[in-house]
Amino acid sequence: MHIPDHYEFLNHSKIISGKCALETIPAELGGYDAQKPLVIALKSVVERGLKKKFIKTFSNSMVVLGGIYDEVREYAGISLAQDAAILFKARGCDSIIALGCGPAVDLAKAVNVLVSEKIDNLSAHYEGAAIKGPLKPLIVVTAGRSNGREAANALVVDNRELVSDFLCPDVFIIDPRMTPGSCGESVAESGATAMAQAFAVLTDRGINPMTAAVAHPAMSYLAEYLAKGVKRPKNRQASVALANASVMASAAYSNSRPGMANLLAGELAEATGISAGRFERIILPSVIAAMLKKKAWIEDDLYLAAAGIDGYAATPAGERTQRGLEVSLNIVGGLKKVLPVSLSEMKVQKHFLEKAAKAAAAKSGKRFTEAECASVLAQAWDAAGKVK
Amino acid sequence: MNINKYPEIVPGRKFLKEFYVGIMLWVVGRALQVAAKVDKEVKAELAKLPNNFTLRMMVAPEKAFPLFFYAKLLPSFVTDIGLLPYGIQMFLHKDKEGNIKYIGADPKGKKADLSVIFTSIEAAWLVLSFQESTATAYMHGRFVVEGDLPHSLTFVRALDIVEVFLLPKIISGLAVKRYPKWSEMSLMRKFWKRIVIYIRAFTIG
Repeated sequence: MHIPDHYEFLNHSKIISGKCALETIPAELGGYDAQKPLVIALKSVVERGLKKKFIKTFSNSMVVLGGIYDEVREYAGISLAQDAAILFKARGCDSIIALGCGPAVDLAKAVNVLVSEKIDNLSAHYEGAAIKGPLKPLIVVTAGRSNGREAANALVVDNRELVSDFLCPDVFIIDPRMTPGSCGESVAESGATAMAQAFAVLTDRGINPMTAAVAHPAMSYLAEYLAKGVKRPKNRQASVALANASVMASAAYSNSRPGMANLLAGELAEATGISAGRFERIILPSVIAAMLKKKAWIEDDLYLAAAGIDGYAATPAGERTQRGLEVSLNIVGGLKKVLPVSLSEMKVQKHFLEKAAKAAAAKSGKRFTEAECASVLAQAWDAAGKVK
Repeated sequence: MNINKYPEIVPGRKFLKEFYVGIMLWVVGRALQVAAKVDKEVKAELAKLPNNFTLRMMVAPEKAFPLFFYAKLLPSFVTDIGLLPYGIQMFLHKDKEGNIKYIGADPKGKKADLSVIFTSIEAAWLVLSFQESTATAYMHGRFVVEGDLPHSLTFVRALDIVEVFLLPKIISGLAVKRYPKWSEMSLMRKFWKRIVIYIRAFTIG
């Protein structure tokens, strides 16, 4: 395996996955000397009736919930964070639980910064001020649609990103009572995000042993369970596997350089307000097609993770790179029934593409040129029918 | 912002599970006391524990599980005999002479040398309703052990034998790591000890 000259890896979070994982929250809070958390929940999670199940798990625990702030929908804004911070202070809370993925986690991180740093807004931090020290304990209960930032050391509020190692959640709870998706579309979007992240990590030239170790099971779970999870969103085994894949891919990706699909999808999502997962689904096949055409060199790990040891061992060493890309293309191709397959289908305005290509190339640190990004987007524009 | 829209929530209790766990801990404690008297294998296993040794099984957090209401009405010398289930704890004491005795559920005035602590009532329920074996439950982090680990293993081995005595194979097979073969424990011994342990556990101890 390739040995990098230098690498850094940070994964602060503890992952508790499996039956009755929710019941461990009081003990985990106890470890941080906390017993009154504020719960920041996704509205969609509450509407699905998971709130009741969640509260029930705290029975006989001496933990009092300071309140369940369930105003988070598709977007995390600073006004919501300020409201939740007021609630946090008024109730004398000492920790935060994010019930749900995506914006709920972003908001929980923002509230955590506000209450721990005793500030009213994040403008100082956006301008470069560092977070001074460890924040309050933050526990994430995975449920709903993931945006791939849950395990990362970053938050996005009002489309502005703040990065600090203190932002990593302390504990992830993956419980089969919470993970089943509401619909195949939501599972597919989360899966596409995790797939794009795991793919970016495993195909990055700067891959290191730790990111590879974390991204490997994420890719394996996606290869095995993504199609099943999309077909049957309520399937517990598949939903737990996909939630694990999301968390692992997110943790590995936050320690890796962004891939082209992630950068382009992020730019388009910011410009259009549509979730990045949909764009990742569309752009990733085009990126893979470009890599296949270019015969780009990548580590064998991708094929090993996606096809398993049997497929890997049965393939000659020289073909593993290409087969890895082909298998990845098949995994993403499996989502075509539930998510759009081309940018034209999504009616994205064409002028966004140029801007996205330019911005992605600038953010890539000279790894991709604007022309390469534009070519991928052009292919993604009318990719319908070309994807396996 | 109206904070009253988001009320403080004090989670409830799972009384049925509490009661079940309380009963089971009492039965296990009483059965171990009797088994140590009537079965050589259990006696030999528990002989490995040092004298003047107290073992405690409980569910965390301790404050959430006070003694049952009637236990508070009785003096401690009565509750320490352990004739009834008195709470969600179990104390087992090995005295200077090496006799094993169940000493109730009241932690007052007792210093545990080894504590087996279930992390939640749900964890205790999973183990004591035989949905998970002791070994699997430990692997899943359902309980933690405070004290000497070899002593806890001694206790688990004794507990496994007692479970084989007390429960039908279909249930105890789920609870123990490996169900003993016919050559290791004869049917005669198993059924005879089952009767003796049940009768003595619920009567003279």
